[in-house]
Amino acid sequence: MRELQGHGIRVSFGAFEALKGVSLALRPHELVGLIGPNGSGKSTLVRALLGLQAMDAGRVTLDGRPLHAMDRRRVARDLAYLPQAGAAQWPLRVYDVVALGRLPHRAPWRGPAAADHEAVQRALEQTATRHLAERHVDTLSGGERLRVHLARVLAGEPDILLADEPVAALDPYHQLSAMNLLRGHAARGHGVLVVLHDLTLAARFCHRLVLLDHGRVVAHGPPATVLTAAHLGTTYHIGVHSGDHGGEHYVIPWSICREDPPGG
Amino acid sequence: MNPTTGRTAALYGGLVAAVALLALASLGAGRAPIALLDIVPALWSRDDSLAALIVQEVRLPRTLLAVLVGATLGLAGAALQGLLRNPLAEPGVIGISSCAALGAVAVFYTGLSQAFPLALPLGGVTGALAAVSLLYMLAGRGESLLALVLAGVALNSLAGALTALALNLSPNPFAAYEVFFWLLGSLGDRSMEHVHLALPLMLPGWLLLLSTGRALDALTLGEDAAASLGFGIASVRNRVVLGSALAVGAAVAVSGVVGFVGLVVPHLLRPLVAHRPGALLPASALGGAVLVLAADLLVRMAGGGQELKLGVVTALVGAPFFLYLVLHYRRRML
Repeated sequence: MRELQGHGIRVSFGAFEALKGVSLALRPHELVGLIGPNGSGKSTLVRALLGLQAMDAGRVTLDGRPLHAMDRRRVARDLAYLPQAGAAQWPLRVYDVVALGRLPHRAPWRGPAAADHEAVQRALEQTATRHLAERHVDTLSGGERLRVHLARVLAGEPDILLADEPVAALDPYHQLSAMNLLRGHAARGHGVLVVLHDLTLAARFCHRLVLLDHGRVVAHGPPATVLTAAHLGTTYHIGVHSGDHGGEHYVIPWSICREDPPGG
Repeated sequence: MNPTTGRTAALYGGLVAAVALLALASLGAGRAPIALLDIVPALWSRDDSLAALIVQEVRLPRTLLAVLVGATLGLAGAALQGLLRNPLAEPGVIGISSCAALGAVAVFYTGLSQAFPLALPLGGVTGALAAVSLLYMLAGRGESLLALVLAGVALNSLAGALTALALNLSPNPFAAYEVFFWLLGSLGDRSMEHVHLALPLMLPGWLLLLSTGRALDALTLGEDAAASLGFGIASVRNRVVLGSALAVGAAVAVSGVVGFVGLVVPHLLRPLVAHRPGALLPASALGGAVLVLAADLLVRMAGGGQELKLGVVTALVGAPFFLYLVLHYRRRML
């Protein structure tokens, strides 16, 4: 089982500093929520952790080895990325989309092996999408599409999964079902980092939260210590209702506490 | 077993059979009647019978070039559509065809084509390679596909303007006439020398293009997701652009401009490979060969006094098809 670490990551776009020295660790068995207002640097941090974003300073390591020095296919087998559930460009069949997750495992110039087919079947099973296998992705609903993309990621059997706002466009049922799947993946011994806008979901499902604001980590730890009225007031400019339900912390965004929007 | 694998294999088999049959028909078509059964022996015959001479010297280069040019245009079209994730892309989009044509026109214009016959195809290839260098200068080595398309459009217009200028300033009307007809695209009066010139450039081009299959599959998920699967956009882009330049440059150099094959073929075959860009590459190469072989047969059979040019026929078929595509996508967007 692997550990992904970012050390002092700095990224800028021209004069704008998107990340100002962010450090973060993602360990096995952990579902970590990355939260913060729009423009706080969440997606840039995810891209940096994937090795897709040029950095001004800092480094990303997988089990202590710098990511950029590792073989790309090797990294692709260990580290998977689930973008926002968008449509695939061509109307591929669901089976073929899920099979794309096996690409890092396949030998060059060879067709898929039996192990690839089995991994695809397992992923379809885990995400309850087997009955969709013959459908074309452009005919799926948002919830179905997310489960298919999650199946694509799971088919690659990655040790670490980074998901960027996977549930943003889903109804509550599909949000809960997707978060259950992500937590299930973590429970099987993998590390999962998920970017979330929904603070209620973040409090309900994540083991740990990292709160970003203006390119800096302003709080990290268990949800109850991060989602405090003080933190949310200064970062999101909102007031929340919070409490405990059956020993679990919950928050509900309730009111605007400052007129200027956050992240500006 | 993935059920689409079997269907795709059947499609490849069907296309190979169609190429073989049309190639045979192409070798048999012409003014001198040669029985179908005599064609294959005539190909290998070492005697200097008339049949062997006609098949080997006149018809074989034409048939081979139809296969090579068609396969190149189909393959490059499929690769570019996969890279740009746009069903309206084709080799012309990034300016390679028009720069190759300009290179050949420059050879006509300077009279080099009279000095030695291979100057013309060499000029075409030089034009295509110059196009790639210019593309990189204009679009930068970065990862933007939009910059690539915009630079291609600019290059296309520039090459078109310079070609028109060459025709405009042509010192004698015969040179202009010759250039004009060459630009229409044809496979007539070609020799094995053309095949020998084109093939060494096309083969590495094809290999580069075919090597992008999995990367193009991954790109259907978007650039970041593809990169996270181990396929960086810069590497795919370089292989598609360089591969297209080598293969399409060589194709334009030996046949002139044969349009629309790279647009139409991938589009027709895409549903038959379940829309997978990687599986579409070999299918489009075979489909391109089928289309150009068929169009060239049509050109030869329809020939009255003046032979129709191949590029004219593909454009006559292709342009309405392009219009149909535009209307189809507009309806889908509404």
